[in-house]
Amino acid sequence: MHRKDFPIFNAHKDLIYLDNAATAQKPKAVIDAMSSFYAKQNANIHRGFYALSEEASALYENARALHAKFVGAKAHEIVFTKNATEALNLVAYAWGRVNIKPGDEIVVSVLEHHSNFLPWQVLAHEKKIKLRVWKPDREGVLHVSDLEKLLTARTRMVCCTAVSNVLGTVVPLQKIRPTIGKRRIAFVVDAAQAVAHIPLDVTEIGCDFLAYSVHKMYGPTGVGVLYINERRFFEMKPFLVGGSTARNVSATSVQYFDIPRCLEAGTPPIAEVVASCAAIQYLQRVGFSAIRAHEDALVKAVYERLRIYNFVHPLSSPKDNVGVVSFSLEAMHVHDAASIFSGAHVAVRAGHHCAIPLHTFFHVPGSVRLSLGLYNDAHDIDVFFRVLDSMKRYFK
Amino acid sequence: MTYQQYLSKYKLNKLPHEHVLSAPTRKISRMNDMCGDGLTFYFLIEEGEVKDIGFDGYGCFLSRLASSLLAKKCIGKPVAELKEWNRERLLKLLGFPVEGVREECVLIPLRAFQSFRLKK
Ligand SMILES: Cc1ncc(COP(=O)(O)O)c(C=O)c1O
Repeated sequence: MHRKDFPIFNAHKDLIYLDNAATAQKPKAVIDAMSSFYAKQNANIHRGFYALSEEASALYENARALHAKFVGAKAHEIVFTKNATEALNLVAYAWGRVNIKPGDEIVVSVLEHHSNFLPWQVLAHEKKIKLRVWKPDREGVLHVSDLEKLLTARTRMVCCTAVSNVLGTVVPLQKIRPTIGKRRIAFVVDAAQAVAHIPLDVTEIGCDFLAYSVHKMYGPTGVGVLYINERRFFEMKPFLVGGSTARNVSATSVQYFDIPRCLEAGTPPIAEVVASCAAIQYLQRVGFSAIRAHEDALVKAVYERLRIYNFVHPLSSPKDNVGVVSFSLEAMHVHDAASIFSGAHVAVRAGHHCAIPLHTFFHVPGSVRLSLGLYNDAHDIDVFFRVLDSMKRYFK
Repeated sequence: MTYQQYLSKYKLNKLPHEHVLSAPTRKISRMNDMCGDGLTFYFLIEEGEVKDIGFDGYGCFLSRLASSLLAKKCIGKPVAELKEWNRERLLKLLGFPVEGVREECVLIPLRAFQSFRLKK
């Protein structure tokens, strides 16, 4: 559909890129925005009293406003980080360590990427608190009725992904806030895998924190976005400190800037943040309803065609799926499968995809993952199946 | 033989020497930190000679194939010869190119054999 917008496919004519859950390719508009910033607008932000710096600062703040609009937030509720992982760690340090007390409890789903699991596990060990794990059903679907059973008077946080990076299934986040009550429990959403596929609205979700990485939504690497509900501002302390975080510093004291600035220590990835606007604009030009329709048709076809391969065992289903198919192979190691795909220029991911608890839940050591982006088409799927056909002989 | 030819030959069956030894004199496990796969190697050493080698565990075809070929080469040899194996020689024994990160898979048995050497 949009392959021509992505220069990587000119450089690699045969490339069948089915690893979009790891990172997406970049449209020319994003690449141009990066080089244009460096060629015409480069300066550090929030510090120079000269026109170029003011222009760079304005572009950077524009990006903040655009991301805010993109997820239904206010501009000052958006903090730029290095990636989703750093954003989630920021929540653990800047909010978790300040507000969680020994004896408290955190609920985290078993679907999580390690980036939304380990920060809470570490916090749990440190603060001597209990980590309760929210498990899905056999199809990998989370039910709020199970969440309800895990909630106690000591629950302080619920951390959940919007879309599993292994299963591709959309989690019904809207049902969580009504279940956990209005205020006491902080609700953390990992939207890294959702952001390129479904529209997100933080008010509708009712979350306190929401994190994503720009590189998964066709934007540059090096930029994470953290939404913080402004009601939580006064409960937070800075995480990384240093340049750009303080209004006034003496030998013994410091007066920090307000959020978001006190949470963005040091020089940020300015060009990447500015170019992330081009990624948002690109996504909006294509439109989420067109993206969903396109990826949904493709992923349904993949699941349908997979049924005849008796050596392939999918972990998830096509229902509410943003375009991810993970499967284990009868007795074949997933890395061997990935190497065979790679030999045919088909890029798929093999392993645990940074979600070992989920693979443990399914009793498999790893899986092969095909994940779609908006440029994938029927030809890509045909080539994928041609390679899978060639593997039949190993299973005789 | 190429990787795919080896795979066609053995399919998903156990490879030669892919089994536990009943009375090994040494046992060494090694993991690939990149993926978490791990194999255990069993050695039967008598009077300075490698009488038998076996291995088992969870590993990809490449790591198991390398282990199998290396075991075959080392059985019946003096223990001292184990230390003559290095990366280049093992890749040559394998006989087909191994791409980038997957070299780590091939090196699992080598790491095990090398640590054997350290403890004597
Ligand atoms: C669901 C999910 N959460 C978090 C992350 C971490 O993203 P990043 O590596 O950009 O920090 C990923 C990326 O693989 C992911 O899929």
